[in-house]
Amino acid sequence: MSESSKSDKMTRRQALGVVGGLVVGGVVGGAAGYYAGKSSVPVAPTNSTMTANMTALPPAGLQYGQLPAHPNWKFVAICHVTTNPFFVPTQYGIADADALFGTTTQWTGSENSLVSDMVDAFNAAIAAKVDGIFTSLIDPTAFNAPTDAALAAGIPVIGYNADARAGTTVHPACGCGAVTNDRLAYVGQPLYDSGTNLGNMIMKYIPDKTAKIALFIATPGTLNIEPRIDGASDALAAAGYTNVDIVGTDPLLDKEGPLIDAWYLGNKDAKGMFAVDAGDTSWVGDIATKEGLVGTVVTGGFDLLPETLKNIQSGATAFTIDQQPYLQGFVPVQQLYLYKLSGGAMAPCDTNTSLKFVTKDNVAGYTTPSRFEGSTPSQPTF
Amino acid sequence: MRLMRSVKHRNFSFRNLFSHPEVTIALVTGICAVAFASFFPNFATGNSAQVIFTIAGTDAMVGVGETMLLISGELDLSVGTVFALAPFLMNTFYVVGVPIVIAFLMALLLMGVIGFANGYITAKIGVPALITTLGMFFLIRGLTLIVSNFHLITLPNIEPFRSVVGSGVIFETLPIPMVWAVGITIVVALMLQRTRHGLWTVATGSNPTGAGEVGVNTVRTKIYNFMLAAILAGLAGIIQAMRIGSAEPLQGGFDLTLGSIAAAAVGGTSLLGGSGTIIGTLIGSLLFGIFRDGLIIGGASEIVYEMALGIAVVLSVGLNVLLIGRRGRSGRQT
Repeated sequence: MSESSKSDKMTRRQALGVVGGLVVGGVVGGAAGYYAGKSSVPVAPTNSTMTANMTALPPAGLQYGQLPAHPNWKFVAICHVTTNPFFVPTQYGIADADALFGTTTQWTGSENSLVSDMVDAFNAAIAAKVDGIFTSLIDPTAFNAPTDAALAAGIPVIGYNADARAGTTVHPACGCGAVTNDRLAYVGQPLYDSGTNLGNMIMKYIPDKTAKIALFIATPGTLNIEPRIDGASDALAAAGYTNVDIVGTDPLLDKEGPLIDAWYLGNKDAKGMFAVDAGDTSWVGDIATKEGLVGTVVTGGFDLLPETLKNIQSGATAFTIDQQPYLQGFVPVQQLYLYKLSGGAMAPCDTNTSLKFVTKDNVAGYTTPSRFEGSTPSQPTF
Repeated sequence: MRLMRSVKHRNFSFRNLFSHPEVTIALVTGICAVAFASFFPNFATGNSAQVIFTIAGTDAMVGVGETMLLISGELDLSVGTVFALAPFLMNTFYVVGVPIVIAFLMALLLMGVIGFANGYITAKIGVPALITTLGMFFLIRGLTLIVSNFHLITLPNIEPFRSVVGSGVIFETLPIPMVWAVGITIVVALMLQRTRHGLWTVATGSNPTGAGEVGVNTVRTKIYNFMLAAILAGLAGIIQAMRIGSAEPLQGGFDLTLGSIAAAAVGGTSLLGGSGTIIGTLIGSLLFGIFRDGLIIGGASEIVYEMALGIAVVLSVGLNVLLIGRRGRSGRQT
């Protein structure tokens, strides 16, 4: 490693030390104080301690964030679409958490949403005796056996992005199915709720209950997006909307657009085109622009692909829902790290990565290149 | 069996040993396994072996059917979608009240019908297999999406059917998919070596005109092999779906089709027809399983696996071609 790259790495770690101090400070302050030999009372990092973290190496036996030296714990992240651009910020979140906590996380799974590939990767990770696993649970039952096997082997398992819920048992709190997997926690968006919110937003933009509306979904039936479309269609049906088409497209980004275009060409009386996945959402705006529908057909959906943000700026897309993919990578690593650090005392907990609407009014905050949105690998500078 | 006989009748030498493509791929597979085990101690464990056998089992079943077709001079691109359709059909029959075992057999029967259609259109009508089976690939995918209504389904958890057909493990290491794969490999290898159909398959693939002139029914031979490939793909699809407990409409696909052809090629089967080895295909599938498991255990990402797989395919086939050249120079037949 050259000197220059060394110094780059230090700067990055120092910056992350600040974030780490904020994220971890309250939780592990007591432990940190003990190991630092200073105080056993949890204390949030002050400006002076953060400044010290940014300018000096940690004392012997400590790492940045005032955490004790520990083994290089190895975690495995299993994803259903490993090369999908949506998960770029997730991988940045993982990389940043790894750099901050001194862990290593492997990114694996399936390129095409194949549960069998994911289960095989899961079982291989158990065989490798890794220190923690987090996986998108896109099937209600297929991950149960490996999850139980991992837990029995002492490997903590967290679900992220998609949670294993039964399709038929309605959970009174969220309207979605009951959790069917023994994972310790779920980090991500409450999917059915977010679909309901999409439905409510559609009603605001299109009050006419007889209007033709399309709901596009790339991979029908998969647990990471199906609950959203269920939530949206249930909300619309409950409100009396009678002309809603649910249209399956394709898991590959380049095929989604032509299929959406084809649907529109066969349904030129459409008043709204909405989607429940990142790729389709970017395409509904693109097709609205291509077909000259801006201002006449409302489009919207989920996630923050650069194309979607561009469409919101231009007015081709009315809104999108941000589920903060960066946090879906960062938080599981953080929780697994704390689980290992505390010997299991710090149990992973469910984390809602938000239900936030991005519209023309607030899109400016998203259009600056940002590592947290996946539009640049660069770290922020202050 | 032929291997055993030929070894018996010749003086043992390494040159004789390496005149069999199975031996080459077995050696490559063994070297890879030892290398992974040397670098990553967790690779050489029962859990790891179970992962390898699980991955290799279903791939091998599809590969064995594809190998018979390749030997007879054809190929089937539709196996990847037949693989996905079969569990949906089985479930459809089951939910309308057909007992699960009968539903299982009915689904396989329908896969045989698909194979018959592929074979008839290709061998009897004369449409190239590439076109026939490519069309069938998309036709079956569309049918699967209709039958599934685009939805993943959870399959009935009926014991002992589920354990016998997909999720069971023998001796704590050997998963049921691999037991099926080994059984099928033995049966089909014996069929290739010991039966008239096997002889006709080789004859049809090496010289269809000459074979026809001496009375080999090349059309029927090819149709049977298309049916076998489709039935084995359907069986593998059901086994995989029962293993994970659910069926997905986009399961299999071109990845599986190309993987099965690659396993056959790596195992020593000629893509030009007329020669091949069923056991080699099983070992080729094991090699892929070892790579997938080993690289994950080694901490590599998904993308590295695909690169490594590509290199393994080219190197293994290259090594076989090199050895075939030497065999040719020394006057031996594979």
